[in-house]
Amino acid sequence: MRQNSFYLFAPLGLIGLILVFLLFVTMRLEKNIEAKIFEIATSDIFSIMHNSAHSIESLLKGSEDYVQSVKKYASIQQKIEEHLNVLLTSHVKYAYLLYRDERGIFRFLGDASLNEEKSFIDQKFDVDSPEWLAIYSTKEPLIIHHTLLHQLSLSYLVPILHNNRVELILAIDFSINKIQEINRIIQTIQNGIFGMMGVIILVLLFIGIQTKRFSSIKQSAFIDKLTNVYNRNYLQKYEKLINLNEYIIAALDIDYFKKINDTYGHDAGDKILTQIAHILLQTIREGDSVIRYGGEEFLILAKVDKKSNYTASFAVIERVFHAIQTAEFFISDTKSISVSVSIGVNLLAHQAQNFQEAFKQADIALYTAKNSGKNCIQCYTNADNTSAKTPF
Amino acid sequence: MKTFFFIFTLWSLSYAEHYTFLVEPYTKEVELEAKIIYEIATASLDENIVLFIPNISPLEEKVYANYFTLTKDCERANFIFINKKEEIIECSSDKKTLFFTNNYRKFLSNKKFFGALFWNKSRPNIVFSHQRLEEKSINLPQTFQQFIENF
Repeated sequence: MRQNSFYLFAPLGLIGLILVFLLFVTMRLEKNIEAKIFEIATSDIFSIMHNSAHSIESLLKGSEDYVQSVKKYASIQQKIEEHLNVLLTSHVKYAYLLYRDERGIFRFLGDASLNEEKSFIDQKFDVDSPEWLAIYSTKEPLIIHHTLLHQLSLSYLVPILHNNRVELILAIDFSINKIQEINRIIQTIQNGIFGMMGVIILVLLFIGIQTKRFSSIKQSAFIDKLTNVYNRNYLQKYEKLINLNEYIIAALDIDYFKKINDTYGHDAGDKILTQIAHILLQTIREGDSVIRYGGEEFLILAKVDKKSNYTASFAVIERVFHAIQTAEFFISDTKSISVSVSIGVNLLAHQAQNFQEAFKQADIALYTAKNSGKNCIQCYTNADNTSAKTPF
Repeated sequence: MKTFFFIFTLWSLSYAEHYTFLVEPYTKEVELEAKIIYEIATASLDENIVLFIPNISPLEEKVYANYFTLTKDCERANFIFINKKEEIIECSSDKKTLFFTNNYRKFLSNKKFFGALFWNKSRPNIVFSHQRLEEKSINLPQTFQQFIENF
């Protein structure tokens, strides 16, 4: 009957999982978008570069030694430079043609740069990364991302093969602006996604707060303000959820309560009710429930311990009975009185069709207890709709 | 209290130039250049390096001072790095003085330079002349062999 923490933690866990999933999706999306934007932004220049590589290859077709042919003929050098010049854009900072000598050193065979920046034919070129060498084994175009060079973002290398060997490398270097532009677009998308996630979190937070508020309002609607135990509304709401196989039901009524009210006043009556409820709450176990059914009548749902077969559950009712019997009930700061209760117990709740029937049977036992002189516990028996008295 | 924080903030900001990571203009290239020059100089000379850079900028002075003993008198220097547009200076010194440049064209045209460190396609490039190294009796370690050109 107590609210299961599962219903609190399950939605929170689910929301957490959704957020983690959203974050994961966002990260994947960001990577995919980055790759796609990069592809869109570079595909044209890569295509042009491949065409240039083919053109250079065609220029050198028939030559036994590509490198020597370029070094020897100024006309070839000039045509290569024309191809390289085509590759330069606002984002492509450098375009050049390289070869690797017998010492493994890269050297220029063409360079689209102007003036002071232009490299000579055969000038040594110290590449920044050993990644460059991979092109000689893969014989495929290669993209190198620069992390240390702060003016260049990446290089794209296209191999020019001769006799199935990489003879020349056509290379371009993208300035950092290209990647900065791509990053700006990604940043905008990222901000949008994070903004949306923020809104979702805020909405979930709002729903959570509202749910908690609603639940606390609902909770207060189910608690009796005087005695601080569940009230009849609670029973009406959840009686269908009560598993009768798990409980014995006891109906408890304060003896001579009307007389107490008439003699000492309603304030004293309220004090008695409060103290009885306090004793009930102190005596029951975890899993048991107390409900103020109305007036001076309480309902105890004592959880059945399968091992002890009702003994432990019935012992709870007995403890309640004795605790009330021995307690002193203060009706003012100085004056106390003794109060007794009558209890009707239905040990056979599991046999009832529904809660109302089980409760009715407990009520029959209570009625019998009242008629048997009060201050006793009466158990309901199935035999003839009568109840067996437990004398104290 | 507010006045104290206001004055403290003003005082902090007035000394903000000390926090190089915040406001001081700082280029990684100068730091990298200084490191490479240090490697080259110590590999080329067996003595304590006294470096002279003509028209050295305050930033260069600050960075290079972490690696070298700097001098403003070229005659006291045993390593001269010419990294600006001016022509090579003449130093009337009896000492063995090595000249290094940051310009490939200057290196090619003037035999006084035994090597150059320059930026080519935004990458640091190093080059030494084999002949000039021999003339100056400089024996560079194996790690520098890839930078030595046969002229």
